[in-house]
Amino acid sequence: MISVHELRKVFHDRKRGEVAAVDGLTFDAPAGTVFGLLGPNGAGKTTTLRILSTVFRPTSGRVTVMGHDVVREPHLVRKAIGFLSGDTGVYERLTPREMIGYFGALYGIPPALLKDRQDSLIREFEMESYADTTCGKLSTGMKKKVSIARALVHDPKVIILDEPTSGLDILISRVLVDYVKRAKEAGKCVIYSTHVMAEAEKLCDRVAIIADGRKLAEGTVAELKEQTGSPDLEDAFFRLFDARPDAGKAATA
Amino acid sequence: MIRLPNVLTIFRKEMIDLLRDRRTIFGMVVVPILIYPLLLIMFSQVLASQTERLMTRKYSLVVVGALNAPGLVEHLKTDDSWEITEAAPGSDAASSDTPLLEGAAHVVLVVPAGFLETMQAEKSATVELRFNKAKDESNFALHRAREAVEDYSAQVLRIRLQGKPDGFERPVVADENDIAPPERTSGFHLGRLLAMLLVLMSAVSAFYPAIDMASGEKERGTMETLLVSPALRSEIVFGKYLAVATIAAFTAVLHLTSMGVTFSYFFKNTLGAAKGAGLTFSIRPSSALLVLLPLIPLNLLFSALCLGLSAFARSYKEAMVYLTPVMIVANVASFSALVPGIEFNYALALIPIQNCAMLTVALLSGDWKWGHVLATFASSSVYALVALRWTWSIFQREDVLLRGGADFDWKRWLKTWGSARPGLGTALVAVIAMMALTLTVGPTLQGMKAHRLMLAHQLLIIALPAGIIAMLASLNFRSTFRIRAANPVHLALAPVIAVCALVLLTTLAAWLVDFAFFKKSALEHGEKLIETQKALGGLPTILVFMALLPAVCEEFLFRGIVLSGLRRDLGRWAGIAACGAFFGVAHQVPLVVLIVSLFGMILGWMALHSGSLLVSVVTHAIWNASLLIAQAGKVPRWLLPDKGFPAWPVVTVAALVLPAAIWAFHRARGSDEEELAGDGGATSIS
Ligand SMILES: Nc1ncnc2c1ncn2[C@@H]1O[C@H](COP(=O)(O)OP(=O)(O)O)[C@@H](O)[C@H]1O
Ligand SMILES: [Mg+2]
Repeated sequence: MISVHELRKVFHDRKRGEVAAVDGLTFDAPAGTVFGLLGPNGAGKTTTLRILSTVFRPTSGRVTVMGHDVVREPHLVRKAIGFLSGDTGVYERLTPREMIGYFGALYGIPPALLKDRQDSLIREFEMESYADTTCGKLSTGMKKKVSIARALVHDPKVIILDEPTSGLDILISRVLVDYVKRAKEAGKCVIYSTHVMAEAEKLCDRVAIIADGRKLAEGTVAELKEQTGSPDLEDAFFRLFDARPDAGKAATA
Repeated sequence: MIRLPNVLTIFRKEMIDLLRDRRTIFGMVVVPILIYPLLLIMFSQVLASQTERLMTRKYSLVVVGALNAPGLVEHLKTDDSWEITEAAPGSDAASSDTPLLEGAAHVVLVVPAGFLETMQAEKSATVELRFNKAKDESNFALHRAREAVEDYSAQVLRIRLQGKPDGFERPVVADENDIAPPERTSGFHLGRLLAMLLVLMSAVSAFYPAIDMASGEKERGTMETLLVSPALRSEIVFGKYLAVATIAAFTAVLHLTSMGVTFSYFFKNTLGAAKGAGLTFSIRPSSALLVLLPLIPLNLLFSALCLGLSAFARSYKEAMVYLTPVMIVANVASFSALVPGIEFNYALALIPIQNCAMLTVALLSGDWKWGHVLATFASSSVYALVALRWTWSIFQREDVLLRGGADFDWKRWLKTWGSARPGLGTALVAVIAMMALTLTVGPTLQGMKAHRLMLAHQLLIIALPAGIIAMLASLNFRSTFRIRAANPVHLALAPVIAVCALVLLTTLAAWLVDFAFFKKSALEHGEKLIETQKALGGLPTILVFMALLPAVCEEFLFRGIVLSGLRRDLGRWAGIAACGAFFGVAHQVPLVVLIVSLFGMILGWMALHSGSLLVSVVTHAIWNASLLIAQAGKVPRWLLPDKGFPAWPVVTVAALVLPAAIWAFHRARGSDEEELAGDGGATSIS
């Protein structure tokens, strides 16, 4: 469903010059899987997901979502995906119901169907009590739920979540985790970025560990543990990270 | 392709979002309704009470030489609003100046010795009124004293005229009658003020909604989400634009209505007395509605401009910084409405903002044509579309939409010196520097000999500033100034395009020069050029100084730094158009501006496509040279039979050859680096 091949993204930063945020990344995520992108801050997770969702154009490499190239057919990619960006916000003066309705309309959902969809999402994410309060008055966690519901309004086949649980309490996290599990069973492809290893261990079928824009390892959680001889994913991550090819260079940079 | 349902969805959401914002409602409804009545009440209260006080209070009057004119002093004493002090006999006029300066006395009447004798001889006597203009009280006292003296003078005259028939002292009287309908005269006075306010209101009204909808969306972190939705960038821009324009139009109309109602109430009641003085305020309802006409193009233009700049900004704050110059420009342009003596014409209709201000004046004075309205609408719509196109291109750029902050870093600047690419800002700075130098240094060059003048003007005013700006901005000279070898095919086609364009555009000029507006200035311009030519001497010298030199210097500035900068931020076509317009405007004379703008656009396209400045320099030089050779009379008469304008067969040939030449030019491969690399604007999809 998602295929990333030799992806590179270089930013021209005034202070740092050329920054290769993603540097030759390759992975595949088939339907019915939860694919985790694991890495420390600045590893290039957000950049990768932004390219997948057509916000950024890749510098080089090929990325397809459900067979559509993100550069040549971005409109088809946008229709197919639900994207929750890391620092996403809500319209403070709209209500959760209106937020979901707005994006639903942009996705071309017919009004009658959209109404059902609004109701079922509000129920699913337990937002009934504040569905008609303007978002400015909601707490961080509530806003996040609104954003998640909004991203899923068109029942996308591909769900891209950038650190979705950061800032959420465990109750809300659980709602999200349950949703992801159900989506996977329904045959959807979920791409999930996080720096919380425990979460990835619980949820992801496959993970790719990345640092400095490069992939250090990829496999199922069990494979990675075995490969590094570690008891858990966190330990596996540390071993891979310390053994990365340009560890010395990065430390002095 | 734009899908209307999406545009409407975005429009509806933006309207709901904005209308729920207390700040919007305040700026949109509360401010317009309350501000004018409040201002007026405050103003007229203060004015009335102050004037009342000054008019009715007692003033102290010092009479010097009271004994010389007992009758006059007696007359003054009948008015008990004076506090009269008589100066000691024998004191001179200046003796009372100190109390006058200190405010103890308000006005001093000096009666000369021999006043009585002059009166008795039935001659004219002069008394002196000394006052202190720096004090309001003294001014009012002077006014009252003057009336008293004139009163007394009239009394004496009546006595002198005893026995003479009525009207003896005024043998001839002129009766003045104004035949202008009242709404025209009041329209004339008030229209100028109204036009100015109209422009300001339109600009101010678009300010807040535009900032909220573009930079606000970035700041709240919802921009990325919106861009990932299937709505096309063009749909987003249009939806937002419609919302800004709607809110701004509503606000502006409310401002106008509130202003109109307040003013007419004010004129009817408070200033009722002023009517006698010829100050009337009556605007027919139909002209009041007509004022709404220029509001439409103004609204379209400002909404697009504000939205674009706001999208370009990183944050709310930055958007304010970018929009402030727009407000200043609107201010300056609106002041032009106050300048008397400018008649509306079709050339004026091409100048953005100012055209609407002047159109309002024309509409209110009743002296207008539908053609003027249409021309203003058309040109403003084109400008608005250009601004929208620019906004759209900004929405394509990931770096602008999601960029983070960046501060200036000297070390980095030195290290990477000579690698930057110019942007819109650099281009504007270069053009403004050139224009400012033309205005300041230009006149001081005038005394020079002709060839020195040309050299100084071209190098100091045109080429050098561009070079200095490029160095300061640490631009890459090679790419900015297109220093690349040219495709020989392009070089070969350059003269063909130059000559054909010259023939066609001078024909257009010949056709347009009959418009009165163009004629005078165009003829003057022509005379000045011929003078310079004479001063330069032989044709070879003329060609070097007036064809080659300007071609090199002007191309360096316009098709170099200006075009590169405009192209990067405005996109290819808007960049070419804007660069051509700047090139034209630099030539100042209206008809020349138009012709040169069009030629500038051709040059811009050629420079971009070929990637080499040499191509546009050659084209420009050949154009200049052909024009000079024709003016020198070195061309057979059958080519240029009519006052130096080309013959019809020549025009026909040029009209056929030019498209072919342009096509061939287009086919030949250039080295436009962005075109080769896949231009960002052209390959983006939505
Ligand atoms: N818009 C941008 N401009 C310049 N540099 C960027 C931009 N976005 C990300 N980067 C840089 O790219 C690198 C990777 O960032 P990111 O993808 O956000 O990492 P992560 O999400 O894994 O924490 C960082 O060094 C970051 O500074
Ligand atoms: Mg991130």
